Amino acid sequence: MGTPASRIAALEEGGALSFDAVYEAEFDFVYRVVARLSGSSDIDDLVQEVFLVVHRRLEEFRGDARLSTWLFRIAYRVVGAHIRRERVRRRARQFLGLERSHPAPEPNDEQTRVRAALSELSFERRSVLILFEVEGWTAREIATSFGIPEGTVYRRLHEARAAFRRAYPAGGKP
Amino acid sequence: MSDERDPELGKTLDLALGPANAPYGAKLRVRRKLDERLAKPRTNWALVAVTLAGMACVAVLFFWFGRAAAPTAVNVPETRYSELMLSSARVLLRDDAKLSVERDDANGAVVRLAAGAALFHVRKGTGKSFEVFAGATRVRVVGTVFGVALGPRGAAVAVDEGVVEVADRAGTRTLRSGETWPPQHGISIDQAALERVRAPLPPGPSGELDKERAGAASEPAPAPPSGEPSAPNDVALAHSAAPVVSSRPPAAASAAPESDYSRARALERAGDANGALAAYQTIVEARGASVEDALFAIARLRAQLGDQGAALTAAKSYRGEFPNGRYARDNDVLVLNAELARGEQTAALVEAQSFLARFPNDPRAWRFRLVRAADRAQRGDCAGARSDIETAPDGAAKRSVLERCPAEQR
Repeated sequence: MGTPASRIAALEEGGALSFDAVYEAEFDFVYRVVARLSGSSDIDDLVQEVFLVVHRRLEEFRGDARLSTWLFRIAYRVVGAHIRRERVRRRARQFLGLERSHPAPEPNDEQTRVRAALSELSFERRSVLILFEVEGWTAREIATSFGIPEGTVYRRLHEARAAFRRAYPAGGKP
Repeated sequence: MSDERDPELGKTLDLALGPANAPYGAKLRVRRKLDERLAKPRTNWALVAVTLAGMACVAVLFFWFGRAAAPTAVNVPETRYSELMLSSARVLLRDDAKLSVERDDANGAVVRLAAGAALFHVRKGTGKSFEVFAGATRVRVVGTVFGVALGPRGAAVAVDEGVVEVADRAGTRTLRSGETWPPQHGISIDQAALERVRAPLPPGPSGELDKERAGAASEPAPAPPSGEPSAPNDVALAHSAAPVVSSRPPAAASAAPESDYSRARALERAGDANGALAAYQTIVEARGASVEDALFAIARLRAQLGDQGAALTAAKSYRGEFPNGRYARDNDVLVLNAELARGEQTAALVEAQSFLARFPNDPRAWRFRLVRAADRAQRGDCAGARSDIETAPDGAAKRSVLERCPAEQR
């Protein structure tokens, strides 16, 4: 029968995909991507959203890209939509006076400062930076996953590093 | 532009972002919620939009052509509550409240608020605990007056009199008279309802009266945090509409005074455990109307009397006959405790793993996680052990795990 991963690999060459098999084989990957990109405490909910979309659209997957690439794109869109919703929600609450918009208190540990610096980056740049520097993806893998040219990946990476260093001068080499 | 990685930057980011691997149980947990959502029919948003638009048009037409006849005054309906008496408490249910009574016996009561709001006046001086589960929040009290409201984003608690302990994912804290939780999202209490629930309670089943206690109530046993993240909205207990329907009648309150089960419970409350056991056994053998309650009561009483073998047998009988019964989860705890008391560690571990696989978010799950944590600590899996005991209250079992797996050891 083979492991779920080998079944998926075989199925990626043609044939029908089973949602259960996809879930079993790719859950850890999806979880990790969502955890890294979102920086949220709602990871379970976001992962659930991703797999809901996967369940709805699995029939559309034609094998013209790797399954992991296809899953990454869904996860990226779900997390991006979540971050945008949260931003709108926060602004609405500030507008209605339900949440104060005063500057956040000065972070008192390095990790908090790093996270604050990361939050200054756009979702696109933050994602590229994390995938490249932390997850060890190559520029080509990032380019394929995002559906963008490799040169664009390098440009976003450069911009992300610069923006991060402006927000967190102690981090990294120039 | 450099295409080389910056190891220092990567390390800094990795540390700040924290662990990203799926924790133990996440896959099953997410899959369970996913299956629940997939089982529900999908909302056809296009149809909803068209329907709403149509209704809006009808409303506009109605008001346009009918406004001359529209009333200029609006009657404000009276606030309506329905009252529920338990053996140790008065419960005032708001019209939209959905409350189920999971237990109401000599040891105390456990109720679950699935929606809406309720006020509680719990008899003091009985030594019985009273627990309210509302979403991911658990309120534990020993004699007091308080309110609980469950909104779309979680529960809010307000204490009028006495002391309660509130446990949720954010932790456990004690609330005293005048305090609310969460503090930034208070709940307002209808004064008329408050006066009504505050009224002296009638004598209890054993004749006990509502005793005034000097100072705070005695410290309740710690209740563990549980469940999902939530941020409650402001919820007012004052409301108006149709009366409430409880989702489940209390085990005792609805029983006829002379029923076999009532008699058995009366014996139990009077301290005649053997008499109560015999009475419950009669109900079970006769397949009476309260056979489920009686079967669980037998398991519970046997455990209280220290006969863990008989308790285990009775609990497994209950499980076999009522696998999804009203007391199923409490029964699981009985089985676990009986196995632990009998030194059946392997069986207890299997029990724990089975429970956690099926009910990872149950408020009782911390008990089963403690068992699993002890096993993990023994096998050297300190990371897993420490993760398991995060939601456990302080106690000997938790301290034992921490001794094997101190903070600096990962």
